Parts: sequence; C-alpha cells; structure tokens
Amino acid sequence: MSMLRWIKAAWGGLVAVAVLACETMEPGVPGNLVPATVAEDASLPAVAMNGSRFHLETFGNPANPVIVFLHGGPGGDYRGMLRMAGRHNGYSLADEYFLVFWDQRGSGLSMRHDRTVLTTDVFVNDLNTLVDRYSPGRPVLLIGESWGGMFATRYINQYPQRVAGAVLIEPGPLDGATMERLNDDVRGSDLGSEWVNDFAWASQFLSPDDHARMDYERLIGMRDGQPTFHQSTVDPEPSWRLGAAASRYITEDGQDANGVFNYDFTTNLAAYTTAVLFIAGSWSEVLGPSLQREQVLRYPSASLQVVDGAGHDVAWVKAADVLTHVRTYLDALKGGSQ
Amino acid sequence: MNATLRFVVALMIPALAARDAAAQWNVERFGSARNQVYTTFGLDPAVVASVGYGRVVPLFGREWQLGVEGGVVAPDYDTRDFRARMQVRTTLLRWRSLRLVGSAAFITRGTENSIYRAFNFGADFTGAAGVYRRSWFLAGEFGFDKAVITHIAHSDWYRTHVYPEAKDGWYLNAGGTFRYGAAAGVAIGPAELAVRAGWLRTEDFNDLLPPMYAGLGVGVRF
Repeated sequence: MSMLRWIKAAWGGLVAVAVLACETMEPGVPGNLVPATVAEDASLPAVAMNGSRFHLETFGNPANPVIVFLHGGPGGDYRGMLRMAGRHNGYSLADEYFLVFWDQRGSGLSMRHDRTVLTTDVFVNDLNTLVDRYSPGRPVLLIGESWGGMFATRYINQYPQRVAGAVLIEPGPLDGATMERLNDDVRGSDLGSEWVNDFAWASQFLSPDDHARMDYERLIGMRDGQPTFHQSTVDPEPSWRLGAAASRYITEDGQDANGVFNYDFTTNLAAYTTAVLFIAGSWSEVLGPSLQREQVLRYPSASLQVVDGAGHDVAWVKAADVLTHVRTYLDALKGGSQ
Repeated sequence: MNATLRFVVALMIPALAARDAAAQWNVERFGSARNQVYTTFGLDPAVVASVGYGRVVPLFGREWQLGVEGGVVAPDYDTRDFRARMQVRTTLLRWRSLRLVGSAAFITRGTENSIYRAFNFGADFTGAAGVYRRSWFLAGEFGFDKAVITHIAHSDWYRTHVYPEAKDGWYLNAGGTFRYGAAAGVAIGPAELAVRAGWLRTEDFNDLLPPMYAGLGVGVRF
C-alpha cells in the first residue's frame, strides 16, 4: 500500500504543478517559441502579392538596376544574406543597385501556407510577380544562396530573358540525379549523432502539430545538423525562422511518388548565354567546390570563384570577399552590355 | 564524472528512489516471482537505454505490477536527456490464454538541445491484447503518451542567433504521441527476452520522425 500512496502523491504533485503554473502558455501562439510572421505582426516590412504576404526589405535607389536576393532552405530566410547589403571596403552594392531582400512563400517571416500553394511553380510565379513589381520591363540580377541558387536556376530555366545575370553561392544540386547521389551527405542524418537524437527525443515535449511547433522543431538541427557544411561556430549565420512546411513540401515537389528526386532545373539552360558566377567556400564538403565545378558546366557560360577559409555559410562569414567577386562580376556584365 | 559513471548514476537514481517497481513483461508470469529487474535498449523515440524494477502486489483481488524505470539517450549516455516512469500494469480481461492488459504511467522527462532545455510531466496509457502463456506471449499494443505540462528555457545560442524574445516558462498541451505495434517475449528459466516494435504518430495523427519505435529487453525474476 505504501507504493500506492507514493503513486497517488506523485499524481497529486502533477496536478498541483499544472494548477500552480499560473502563467502557462500555448506553444502554437505566434511569438512564444518562434517569431510572429508578417501575417501576425503588422510592424514587419511586408508586401502583398499573389494572395500572400511576404517579408521584404529594399535598399538603394529604385531607379538603379535591381538585384533580387534568393535565400536558402527551402524555408529559410534572408537574414543570413543581409551582410551583402552592408558596406565593405568602402563599397556597398546599394550604391549602384536597388537591392530586394525577401523571404520566399511560407519561409522566414513571410506568411505561412499549407501544402497546396507550396510548390516550385508557385514559387516561380511569386518571383515573376516580384520582378514585375520592382523591375517592370527590365531584366533583374539574381543572387541566390544554396536553395536560392537552385531557385535562381529554376527561374532562369523558364524565363532566361528576364534575368540580366546571376550569382549562385553554393547552389544545391540542379537536377534530381545529382541530388540522389548526394542526398545522404546533404541531409547528414546519422542515427548516432547527438543532434539527431535530440531531435527525436524532443517529440516527447512538443508535437509538430501546428506550424509554430513544426518550425521550432526544425530549428533543433540548425546549429549542428550539417557538420560537413563546416559552418562557423564563432560567427554563426543567423536566421529568423525555418519554415518547416515550405521546406518539406518544396522538397517533396521535386520527388516522384516513391520519394526519388526527379526534378531538373537545367533543361533549357542552353538558352541562357549570359555569364553566370558561382561562388563556393573552400571548406565546404558537400555543396562546395567539388560539386560546383560540375555545376558550372550546366550553364553555357559560367565560372567558379572559391573563397578560402569558409564553409557553406561563405556569404555570411566572408561577406567582404564574396562582395569583391560579385562586384567584379557585375562590373564585367556592365562592360559587356555597354 | 566520466560518461560511464554518469550513465550508472543516471540509471541507479530512479531505481533507488522507489521501494516498489514495475515493467511491461509477460503478465502470465506475475505469479512465478514477485520481483523483476530488467534492461531495455531501443529506438523510443531516440536511441534509449533503460533499466527498471518491478514488483507484483495483490490488490483488490488482482495482481498488479508496480514499477519504476529510468532511461537516458544512449549514443553518449547524455543524462540531460532522460526519462523516468512510475507505472502500474494489470490484466483487465482474461479468457483462457487471451488477455487484455492495461497500464498507466506517470512520466517525467528532460532534454537539452541547441535551442532549449526542457522538462515535463506526462502520462502514458497503454492497452495490449494477445496470447499470454507461461513461456511466451504475443500481443498487439496501442498507447497514448501525453506531455501534460512542459517547462522550456531557451538557450543563449537561440536567443542570440534566432529569436531574442522567445518566451521561457510553462507550456500546456505541448505534445502527445500515439503508439501502435506489437510486443512479444519468451521465457528461459527466470529470465525473459522481450521485443516490441511499431509506429508513432502525433496526437493529431501527423507524421513523426522517426516514424517508428523498436526495442529489445532482458529481464530476470526473483
């Protein structure tokens, strides 16, 4: 009987904790675990397009040529690209260009969505609308990082005439066959690793049953989830939110019914004869120089610059070096068009 | 304290804290010996190693197995990722060798990862129906594990690099997991070998990663 009393006391304690915890919160309420998006926080800079609201900031003179930045993920945000808007060695891209930073649909601080409108075709349509809005009748320059480089390629593949030039910073695989070859390394899920077990163990604390909890769960792997990317631990690339739904459904959009990647963003790249710049961090193993040396060959005219002393987050930790290469590339484009 | 010593201490604390205990093994063997110690290893939902102690007591005309169990995430025996259970288990219905077995558990868990440190209190209710013989059993099981209340404290890393205004404190109804699968076991003398495996879903029946659980256990009755 003493054990029975002990159990009853424990249950009583549980109820008491529940009652006495007077300021309990709900995990799904915006702002508790992850930041509110533009759908909930009107103070965030935003634009409405295509039935959604997008977190967006611009820098520079709107009359200048437009550069649209495409962040990584899918599902990530542009916070880690903002150093490229800054002034380095006395120069800022905003001196000569109109810079458009935006969080893609369902990503970062942009409005969340469910599966039906989280497809690559919808993303391309969003970018098309953005180009019409900020650069009507004039092609834009694209700077894409990781998934953003894939997205840029997907857009160029469909609308080559709308893109005046592109910088692709460690883009992921541009076709499904390459992704299949590298998928295990890209995902980096080792059952024995601490972060994988942390992720699995966390399901007993928070169930991914709403967007906020899904996004929060996804952040568990942000710091340690991809060791072969060699991202900085002393100067980590920041983020606002990883959109779990966008990440999952855009990824699945590139797969067949059996989960095999079958996308191909390169079918029409032969039509794009403008020079393209690839940039990679020398430390990056999976999406670094070795992959990009293959991928530059997918474009008729492309070159690769490798930045020493950086991993996949090269645009954050070596922003000045990256900007030097970007400026040289853009100057060459201007020279060619004159 | 080295990792091995931390592991031993982590496993001993819950066993020492209780005077009686329980486990989920062959209910047909409850009468063979009152006490049982056991250890399990498996994916549930992370890679977890556990030890437990159970004691069978007669109460209200039934035999109840009361027990405690403690486990830690196994790859590095990280004692920050722990689970302790107090549970009770008994036969609800019986016809010949067929039994419907029910169990209830009070659970407390802890975790620490790159973005938060948390502990929670929860409850688990499981039903199992199957054939239970003296030397073996085979049953299907269905359970629900509810995280009733969870305390979350965010890491400095999360506040610095992601969200400075993240709210620390108590969260209600943060999670729950359905579990359905099968369990089986064989007895060799006083020892039992048990396996269980099945699928996991959230309380709203959404996908979980990993989507399944599986475990192997060895116990001895005395």
